[in-house]
Amino acid sequence: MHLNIDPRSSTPVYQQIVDAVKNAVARGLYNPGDKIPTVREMASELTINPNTIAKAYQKLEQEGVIVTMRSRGTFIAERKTAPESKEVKTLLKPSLDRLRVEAFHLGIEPEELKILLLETLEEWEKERRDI
Amino acid sequence: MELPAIDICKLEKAYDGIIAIDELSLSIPQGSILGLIGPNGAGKSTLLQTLMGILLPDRGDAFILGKSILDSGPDIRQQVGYVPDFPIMYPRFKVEEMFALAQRLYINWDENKCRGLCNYFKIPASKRVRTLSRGMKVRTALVLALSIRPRVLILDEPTAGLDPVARRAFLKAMIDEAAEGGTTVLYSSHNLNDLEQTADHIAVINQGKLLLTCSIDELKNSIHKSQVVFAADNPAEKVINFLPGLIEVSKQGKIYTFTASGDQQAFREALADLNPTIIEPVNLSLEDVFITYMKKEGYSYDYAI
Repeated sequence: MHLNIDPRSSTPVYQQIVDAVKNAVARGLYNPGDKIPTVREMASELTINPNTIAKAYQKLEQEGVIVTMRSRGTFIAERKTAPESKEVKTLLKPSLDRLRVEAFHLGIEPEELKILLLETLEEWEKERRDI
Repeated sequence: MELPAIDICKLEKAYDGIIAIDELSLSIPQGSILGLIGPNGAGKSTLLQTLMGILLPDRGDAFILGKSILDSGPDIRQQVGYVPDFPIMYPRFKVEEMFALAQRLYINWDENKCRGLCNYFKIPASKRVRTLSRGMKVRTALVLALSIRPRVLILDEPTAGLDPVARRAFLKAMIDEAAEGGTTVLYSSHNLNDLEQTADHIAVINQGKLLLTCSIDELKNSIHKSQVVFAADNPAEKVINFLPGLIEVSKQGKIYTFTASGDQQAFREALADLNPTIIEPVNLSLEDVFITYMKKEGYSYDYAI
């Protein structure tokens, strides 16, 4: 698993790992049931502190992106099908709000934003199909 | 609670009346990788040498795996790997003879690991120690320190003098050791980029005193920097100085650069009242954060040419 980590970024390294893994799964590079490297392997591969990797894995597990099976390893989890409304509110809504504000300042009308959003989603679907 | 791997309690050490370590206390949990940073002459090497029992403290005490450094016998040495800034080895020995000697001295000596590491670090086994370069001596010292299956590793600027490839290999070996054996690592370095990715905790010392110790994330969150452009009139200097936690302001053309410590949210809110048009956060590396801290402590160089 190759992840692009920039230790100099002001985003904490563990968060960068969380984001990178989530990104790879969303893009279809990893599928449910795929085995991912252990904390040790990942630490060694990226030359990053093992405790930082462990923290990232903990967070990914909390968010239901990965599952650890005792003595068998860590795997990509089955995708959630019924989103919890609380999570939608705390994780997705702020990003959508930010998008709305940025679009306003760029002079994008709501209708145009809808089209952009749909295009992005289609692109994403196509990318997943191609993999 | 688990016993800390290293517990330093009000340690003091002076050379001819000049204080090198000043009532320094620091606790390092097991399995942690702690990076020790500080300007030249801050007391880093003195601290590490005192922990190793090479220097005796004037006052205070420190405990490694629960044993006091004041009466630590050979059994504690069996568990602590040490790489000094200038590795001292018998100059007339061949490298392989050094290893053979160590094998007899250390009860947990792991010959397979030693061979593997020698290969990995490309150590010339048949050369005499005095013919080795500083970098090669450091690699050899690290192989020695790792082959005793240490529970604690104390490394004094281990990456200084290593080429980039060897430095990477060295860091990898250190990470593997911590990840596999749960070995606690205390290492000093001026290479803050390395520390940023390999350490989980940082201790900053200056003039023998501990300035702060925290996790890297905490340290990086404690200082923030942003570039700001104001709408029409630039705010008065007085007003700017009231921004919460402000450490430094610089101005180039219309762009202000603010460096501040503390709550970023509160800073943003106070800034919003000054009618800015652009606020752009600037990424701060550990190096930037360190330099800012040192400036706060009155340690900086301003070129006047």
